Amino acid sequence: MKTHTIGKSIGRIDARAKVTGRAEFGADIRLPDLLYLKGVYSEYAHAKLLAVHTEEAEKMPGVVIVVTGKDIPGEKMIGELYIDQYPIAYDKVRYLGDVIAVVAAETQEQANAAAARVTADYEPLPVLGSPRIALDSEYVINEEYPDNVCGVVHTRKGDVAKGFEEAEVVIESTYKTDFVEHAYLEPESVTAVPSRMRPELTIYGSMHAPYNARISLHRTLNVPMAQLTLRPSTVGGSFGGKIETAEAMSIRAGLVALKTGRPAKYTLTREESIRESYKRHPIEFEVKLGATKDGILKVMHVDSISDAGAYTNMSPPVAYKTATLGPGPYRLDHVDYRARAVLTNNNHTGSMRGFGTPQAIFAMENSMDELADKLGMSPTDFRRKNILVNGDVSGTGHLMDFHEVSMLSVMEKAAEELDFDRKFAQYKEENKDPKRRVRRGVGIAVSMRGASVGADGNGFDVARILIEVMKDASVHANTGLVELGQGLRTAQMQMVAEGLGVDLNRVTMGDTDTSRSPATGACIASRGTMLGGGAIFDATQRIRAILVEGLKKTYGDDIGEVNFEKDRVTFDDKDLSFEEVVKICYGHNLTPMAPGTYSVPITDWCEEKGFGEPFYTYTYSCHAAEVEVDLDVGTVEVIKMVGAHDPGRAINPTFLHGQIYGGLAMAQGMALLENLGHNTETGALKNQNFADYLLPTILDVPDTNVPILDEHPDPRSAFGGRSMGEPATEPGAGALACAVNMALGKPGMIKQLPFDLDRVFAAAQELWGDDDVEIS
Amino acid sequence: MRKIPLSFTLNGKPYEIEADPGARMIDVIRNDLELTGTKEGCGVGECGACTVIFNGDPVASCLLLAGQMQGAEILTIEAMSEFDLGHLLQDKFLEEDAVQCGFCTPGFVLVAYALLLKNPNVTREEIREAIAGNICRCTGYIPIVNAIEKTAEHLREA
Amino acid sequence: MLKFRDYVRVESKAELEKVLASVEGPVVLLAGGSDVLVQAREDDRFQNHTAVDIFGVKEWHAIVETEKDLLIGAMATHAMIADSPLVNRFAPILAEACLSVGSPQIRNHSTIGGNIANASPAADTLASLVVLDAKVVVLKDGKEHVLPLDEVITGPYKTSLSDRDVIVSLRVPKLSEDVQHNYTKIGRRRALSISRMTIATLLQLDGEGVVTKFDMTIGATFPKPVAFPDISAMLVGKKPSSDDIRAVARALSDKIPEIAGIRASTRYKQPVCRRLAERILHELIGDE
Repeated sequence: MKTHTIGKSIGRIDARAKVTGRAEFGADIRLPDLLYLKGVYSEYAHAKLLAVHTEEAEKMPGVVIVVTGKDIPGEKMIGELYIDQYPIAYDKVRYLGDVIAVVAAETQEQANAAAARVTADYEPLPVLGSPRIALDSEYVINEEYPDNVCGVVHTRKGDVAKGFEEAEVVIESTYKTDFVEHAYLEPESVTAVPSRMRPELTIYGSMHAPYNARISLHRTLNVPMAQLTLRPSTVGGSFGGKIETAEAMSIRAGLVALKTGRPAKYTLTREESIRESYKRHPIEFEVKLGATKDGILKVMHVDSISDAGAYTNMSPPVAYKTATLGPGPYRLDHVDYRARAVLTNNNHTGSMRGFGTPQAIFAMENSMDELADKLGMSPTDFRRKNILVNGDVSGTGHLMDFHEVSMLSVMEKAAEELDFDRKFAQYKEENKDPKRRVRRGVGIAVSMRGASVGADGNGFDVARILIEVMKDASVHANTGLVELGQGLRTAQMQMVAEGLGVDLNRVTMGDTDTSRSPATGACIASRGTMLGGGAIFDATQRIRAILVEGLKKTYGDDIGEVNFEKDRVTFDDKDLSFEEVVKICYGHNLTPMAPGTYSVPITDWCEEKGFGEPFYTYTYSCHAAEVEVDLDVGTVEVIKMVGAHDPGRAINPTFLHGQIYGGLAMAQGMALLENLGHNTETGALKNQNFADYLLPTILDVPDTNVPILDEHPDPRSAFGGRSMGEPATEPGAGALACAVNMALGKPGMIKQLPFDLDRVFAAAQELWGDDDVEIS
Repeated sequence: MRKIPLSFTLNGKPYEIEADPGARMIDVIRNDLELTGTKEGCGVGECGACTVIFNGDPVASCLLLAGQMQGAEILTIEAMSEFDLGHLLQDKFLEEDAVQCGFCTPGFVLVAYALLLKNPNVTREEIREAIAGNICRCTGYIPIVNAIEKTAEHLREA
Repeated sequence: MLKFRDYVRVESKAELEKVLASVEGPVVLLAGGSDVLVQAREDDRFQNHTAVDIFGVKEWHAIVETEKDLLIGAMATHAMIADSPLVNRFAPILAEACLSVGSPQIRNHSTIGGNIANASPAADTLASLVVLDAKVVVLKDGKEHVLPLDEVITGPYKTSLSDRDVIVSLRVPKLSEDVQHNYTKIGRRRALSISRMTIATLLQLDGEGVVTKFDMTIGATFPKPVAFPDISAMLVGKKPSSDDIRAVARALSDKIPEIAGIRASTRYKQPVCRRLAERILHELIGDE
């Protein structure tokens, strides 16, 4: 496929506004007559909410209104797939981030002061602070799930009992991950503006999934969708995190706006954002692997439990991805992988970059290292022997014959860049010496990521766009696939230009406006480029057809094939400019505007058997890491990380490099630093701001990190591009953990994230602590 | 509650305002002066998004009270386009793809500006030390360092 | 927006004394302000306090030398101290400690006086001040008093100062240039990091390799800063062997459970302190 505008690293169309400070983020919105909002949080993680007392607050200076759950006119609960989340808690509170009232006042300070005066009566209930406690408890968080299990996905292939009989070498381990915070640098902020003409709202601010929010606003506020418009502002990062929380905030602000007739602005402090927002799922994995003596992987059995928190949110789809992608890009006959999601009284858990896979890859890749070690093989040699190639059947039963299965190629590139094989051998030898107190380790982790939501969303996985060609032949495109900083808007512009065969500067990508484009699934699940591309392809084909219709009316029905390329339109002996063709079209009163729709083809997945084709296509990734561990202090220095990926075709290679650099840093945080300090007894999070929730600074991230693209355009994608959003980070924590365990001298030594100072030191003490060892 | 009178220079312009004793510098900049380029990421000085240049040095504007602005010369991101060095930095940030979501960007640009103004002959290590108080969740930092380094190179060649 | 009753700025000692005498109710002194503002955000503890900003008192910014001492104004920022040629020459361990505080933005607007007055047990500069035998000059009721550090800081976030007492400077005995130093900070990351533990060491050897000066202490570990003359005595006058070093390291690390009690952190800090102390001393003494 010859391309003109895609495959080029053009600059981001929104970067100038950001670098000059002109870009408007949610909290930057200024309007006359604005009301400022403050939420009141539950005092208990689990309780019946008997009454909320707002009288004192209402009397406070500047207060215009205080709303509670009772004030929501329509449905009391929301949820994209599972309707069990309170925008304002009504009769029960289920976690400490539940909001029980919202104050609206003339200034933020007045709202804050009044919020402190709201009280409530509770009947406390036992706090189910972990999945194990919830499974054992007689208390039920959501009556629809009497055993507190809100999702189960069970992948099965072959016969694991037989597999373990055949296996000659077996390892068995339990791995655990903890809550992780998205930590987008911009705290959530939404502003609801009521119309003067009718009960109608426009919502601005930081949100990731505007159409989801529209549905929830409609159901709770009883406003027709045609009278609800969402226009996200510049979003300061999301990583999946500005969906359900932003929805709940939009409803609260919308309620105030409708009741008062005034615009209502609602911004969270960082502490509130951490308290209220949903997190990455903590998951516990019991892993058992078996192989033959000569290193052929035979059998895999994984039982995993995730903490779904207070609301179902995305827990069942996360369980889906855990169970279908957790087996990894390996060739083996027998797989049994079960993922269960359990409700608790913790922060609800949902979309966060990876959606179950960073956790699953951490568990699987460290387990693979344990197995390789027991077999006397290096991590790379073991993987070379067992990774999928063209024509293999995956661990879930998918025949991999539809695109280049480049997993090995990607891994080799990562390994080569890090000089993995040589270093592994060298460090393994060097680290035998107990006098070596500062020692190095290398680790590698591989992944295959299904594009978009997979068979779990069979029939629902759709993206849409609207493209209009104006009379001056400028092109306006609008889609609800939101720009979050990933560069999607620019990549979309490149694809629109490619699809119409016009110059880049002819295309304007509008800011997302739900009144200007039809409903689309959100840019989640690393689907923005691929599905957006599909929708763009569809729309641009339709517009071309309309323009051709105009040409036929002028030049006759029998004109030859019309080519749109490099801003010119050619057919037969004619060579017209794009402007001329547009003029002709309008001249015949035709309308060169079209929606574009793309839905992912349904794949053959049997939910009951947990077998078949869980996704339409996959992206292959490999992260390799080198670390230096100080046994006497427990510190881990990251020396270098490599992120190698096959994203299909890179629509904008520089953007993908940017994603990888960012993804490596995010993985480093998850692996080594980030800890919310969750308390199992109270459900509370101790680390409420960035002084204690530690993100990697520039001095922590190696200056030598390398992103690598190993492109094999995917025939199943309109423009050949697949995914990068989540692949960019998903294998990183696993690779780092493998590297640290390797440095310690024992694969699988530490089995719980994060590998922080205390954990690494304790492990070092256990393996290498010796009072009489002389310090060299 | 008494309002305190303040006079200071911001982005080259003299201001005389009255502020609440509890107002922070970031509140004055964003609310009173309506300059929203300076961002609040955490409110406790741990992310650098609120960085402004205060008498020549980068400080966290969420950790200074309005009263501490008295008599000071302050620069925010809005001024950068008007200075050659600021404009050059902005161009390099774009060229090196150092901007993704953009929320942290003003803080980084200001720190880089203050650094290069004092010392155009910075090493890469000095650049990294100077931006150690600025967190980015999107870019993984390396493109940002590249942008600042390229700016320094450009200055040296000029 | 935070809650203070009022804000007053002073530019001289005389002005300050006038304000402190006339202002009603409690006062909170503002040096750089970073600690105070973070605390004010947590709750309304200062809503009845008048914030008195002393950052502008020029004489308290200065870093000067006398024949024997460095006089470091309490309003000197951590950045100024880290960059100061005088401090780098005569008390380099303090420059290093100041350089490890927070971030460039924090260092540009936080002061050594404020760091001491806040008395955080994790404060980065305190261990260095202990081994330097620094004295704190406090303005109290119009008179200046010279106090040892452990009479100013009495416990975690506790000082012997009233809300109207002002730390005005530090008196730091100048080190001769052959005194070696080591400042080690263990943090969870490499910038914007609260100390998990710091170790400050000063060591001087004569021409024969005999120890003539030795001071070592641990920071971010005890309720208040502590000096250990008994530990110093273990090496002074000796040409230290590996066994001597090991004994010092053990004795130093044993101070942790002894003074701070057995806590969860002891399991980490005690062995780490022992191993690091050995490493540091081997490095400074420079044997084979």
